[in-house]
Amino acid sequence: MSAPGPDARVVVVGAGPVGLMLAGELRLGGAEVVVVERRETPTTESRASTLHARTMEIFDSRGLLEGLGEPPHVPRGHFGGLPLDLTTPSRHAGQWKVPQATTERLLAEWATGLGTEVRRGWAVRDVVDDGDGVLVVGGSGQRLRAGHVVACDGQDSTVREVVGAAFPGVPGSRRLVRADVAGIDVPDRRFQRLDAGLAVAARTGDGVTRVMAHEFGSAPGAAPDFAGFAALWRRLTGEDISGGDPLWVDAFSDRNRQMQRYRHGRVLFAGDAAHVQLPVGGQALNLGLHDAVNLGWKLAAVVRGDAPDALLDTYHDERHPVGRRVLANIRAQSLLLLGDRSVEPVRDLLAELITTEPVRALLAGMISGVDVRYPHDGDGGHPLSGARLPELALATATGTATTTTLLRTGRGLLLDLTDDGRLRGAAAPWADRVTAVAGRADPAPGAAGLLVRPDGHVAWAGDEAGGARAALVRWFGPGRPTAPHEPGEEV
Amino acid sequence: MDADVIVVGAGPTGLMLAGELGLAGVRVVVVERLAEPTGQSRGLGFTARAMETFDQRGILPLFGELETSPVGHFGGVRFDYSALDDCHFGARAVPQSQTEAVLEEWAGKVGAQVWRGWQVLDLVDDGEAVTVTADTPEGARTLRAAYLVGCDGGHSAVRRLAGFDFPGTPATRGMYLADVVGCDLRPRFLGERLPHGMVMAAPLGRGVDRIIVCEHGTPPADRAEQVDFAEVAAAWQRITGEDISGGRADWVSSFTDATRQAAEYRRGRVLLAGDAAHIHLPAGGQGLSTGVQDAVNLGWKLAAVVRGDAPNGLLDTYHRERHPVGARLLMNTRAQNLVFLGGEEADPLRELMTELIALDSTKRHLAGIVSGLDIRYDVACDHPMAGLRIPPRALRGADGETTTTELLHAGTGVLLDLDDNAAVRAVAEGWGDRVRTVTATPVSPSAPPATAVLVRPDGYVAWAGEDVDGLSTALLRWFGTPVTAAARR
Repeated sequence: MSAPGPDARVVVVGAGPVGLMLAGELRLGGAEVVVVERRETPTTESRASTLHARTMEIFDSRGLLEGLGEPPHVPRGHFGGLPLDLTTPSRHAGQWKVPQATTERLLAEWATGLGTEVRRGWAVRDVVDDGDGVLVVGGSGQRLRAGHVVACDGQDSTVREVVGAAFPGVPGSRRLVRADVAGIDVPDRRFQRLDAGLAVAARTGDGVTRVMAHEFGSAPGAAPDFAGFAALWRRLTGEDISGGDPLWVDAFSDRNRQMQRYRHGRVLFAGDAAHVQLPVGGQALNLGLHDAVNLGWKLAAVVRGDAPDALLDTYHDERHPVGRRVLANIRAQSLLLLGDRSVEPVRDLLAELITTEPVRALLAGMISGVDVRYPHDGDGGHPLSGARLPELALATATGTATTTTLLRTGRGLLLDLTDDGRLRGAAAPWADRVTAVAGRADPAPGAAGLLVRPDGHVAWAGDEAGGARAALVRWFGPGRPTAPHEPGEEV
Repeated sequence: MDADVIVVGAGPTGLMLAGELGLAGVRVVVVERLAEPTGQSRGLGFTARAMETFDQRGILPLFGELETSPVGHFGGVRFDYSALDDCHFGARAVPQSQTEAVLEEWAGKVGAQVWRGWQVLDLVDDGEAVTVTADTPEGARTLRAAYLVGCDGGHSAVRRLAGFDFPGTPATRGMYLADVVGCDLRPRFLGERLPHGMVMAAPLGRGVDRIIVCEHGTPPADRAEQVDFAEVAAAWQRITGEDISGGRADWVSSFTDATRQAAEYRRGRVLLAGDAAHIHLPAGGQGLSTGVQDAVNLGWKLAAVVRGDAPNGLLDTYHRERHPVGARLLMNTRAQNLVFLGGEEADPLRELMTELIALDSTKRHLAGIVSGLDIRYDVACDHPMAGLRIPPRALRGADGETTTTELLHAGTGVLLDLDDNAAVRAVAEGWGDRVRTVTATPVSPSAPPATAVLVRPDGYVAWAGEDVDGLSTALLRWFGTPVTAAARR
């Protein structure tokens, strides 16, 4: 690794969950990271509160689950408000209710513990990519030079604006309002469609009720004050909540936009900065976290000088289609949730279809993020290629381990499942980046060897060392010379 | 009484019902407003279940060669309907005028009369019978019968005169339907979505094309309003850029997505069937097919009531069974309307449906809905076959080979004794005048799903089982009291 100078540094803009996740991933990969954040103090308002199965798997593969304690588990989710059992082939199937402030605190502790520097009260005014590096200019003229900048600064991303990046999509046509209110007692409602609109109410453990509402036909606009919210609630439900004590009230729209390119030279975008969507079913936060985990190890490898710059292009190539698919499903859900009475028959029909297991499983896989697969040329066509590796238990010469715990170093994994250990040697030239483990896997994945990327996706599944080596070069850069005649290696 | 039953309307529903009643020996008169058949063919085919229904009465050969298409669509998303056993997207390119001619011929053969040029002006249900006043070619006439069934279409006079409630949603889109000549159109069998609307074109032979034109933003036009070809040609050009104004139209009509269903299908001695009971956006020939199946559900029940051997409440099962089917028809055509004809906002729903339709389970589910093969009535029997239609299967009996379809030609109930079980035959003896018992074995090597099956005249399984438990209850429930042995002698 080259000595960290300014050009080896990555500046992450935004200390929300996505920025902090990315910072931790970059540190695990050995990159120097500075996170700049406009706000002086972390938010205490909890907007997003749902972590899905894939996010929990990722947290587990970074040793972060313990920090969440025992969050409430909700096995049932919804699709456009239609009940949907989220059972998937994952140890963490279902939804996990974690206040966003908790997720942020946990990720901040983890990222800073790994050596991330977080500079608060640092608002970005300009970003200049001169080809050799990027100059980040702050609101009071302070300057920070970096090799790369990743914008994780949310849906109204300043970086996106100063870079002048295209952000095509659908403008919002509907306003939703949302509040946390103490001291009210209304029935819990999961996406109740009423004559005049949609009402949601969920009482949390601490006496606070999260209420959300949409009045059919209401156009996007600013958040009302609480009296306005209470009046709207009364129009929809007939209930009087005006005596409650609001913690906050906000408004959002169903706008749905996605950047055409997630990479602009040395400036990259992740999370809401790259795509905005209705925050339905917690997919927005989870999608952003998965962006960060896809990007982190790649950017670290490029910064270290191990991998060619082109590896960074795979970030866009892999994550843009995933974002597109999630945004499309969110648009469908928006219509099902917020459309007028004319959508009822489609809701009825989908409710029927969801009772068939293949449809339920497809939607559950989509919502929970475990169905993501990154197809790439020469992946051998194995069903696991490109998919996230379902957790395997490995019996090795020295004991047992799971693939989840083996991934905690943030390094790649070569799993040699042959009887004679003939594949593990293939990874020797990448020993600084990839851990080779020989053993027996349960369940058996149907391949003699697996190369797993740091983000938990399978880069290669096959039987021949040659295939493993090609995949190692492709995803981890050239290997380093090793002593000849590695034991066990066969060509 | 002039007749046992008056059927108002000589469309496919009314003619099918007349035939069913005639087959059961009921005196039936069909009165029709039009002096001559229109020759217009709004319906252009029928579903897999409607085809089976015609086959169960031996009518199917009267259509000549019928072409069925395995590939159809749901909301414009193509898929193969044969994912579901016995299913297809229906018989295509059968003009409604041909269907009506076939059904009228059949109904006439079994004794139904069709009187044309009769416009119903009034009807009175006095509790004993129904009296109709009509304007006829011979002047005002009255006609009296025990029951009257309105099969007189979406603008049903019977529905209005008898005070049926017809709730639903008003039109939001208007569309043109026309048979055009000399336009040399590229076929778009399942429709083509373009920025300004949707067009469909299907060649009917001899240079005639059936077209449907749905322009975004076209205000809903009343069905009765006259439409001329120039208007249709202009809309066609705005959507496709193609100039068809040099052609002409055999006929042009308009329709809308107004969607409504009668709150009840029976009020006293007046009943509704077909479009008189439910209107919706046409999709996949479901309207005609549902009407025909309404008729076949109602016919045998009404006949039993007229004969006097119906069990209590049998006639009410018509509404109970067919109203939910109609509601589901409305649901699926409304859903297809939004997915197929909705604007850009509906794109993600279309994308989602496309992804879901790639799953075989979804193909089977949707094919079941559109074809009508998924219909299941509550017959108070929990056998897996109960309430479903008896599938067409070959059987071998003492008199040689037959089929479940052929056994239904006579319009009676059928008891299949598939295990040569004398006890089964003994139970059914008292219903011998209404239920034909057939001892046979399935020709197909796969094991029969039951050893005895009671099939209603409409082809639905009333009861199935492994022994006689519940058989006599089912016979009583659907066919009334048995004739005693003494009476039989």
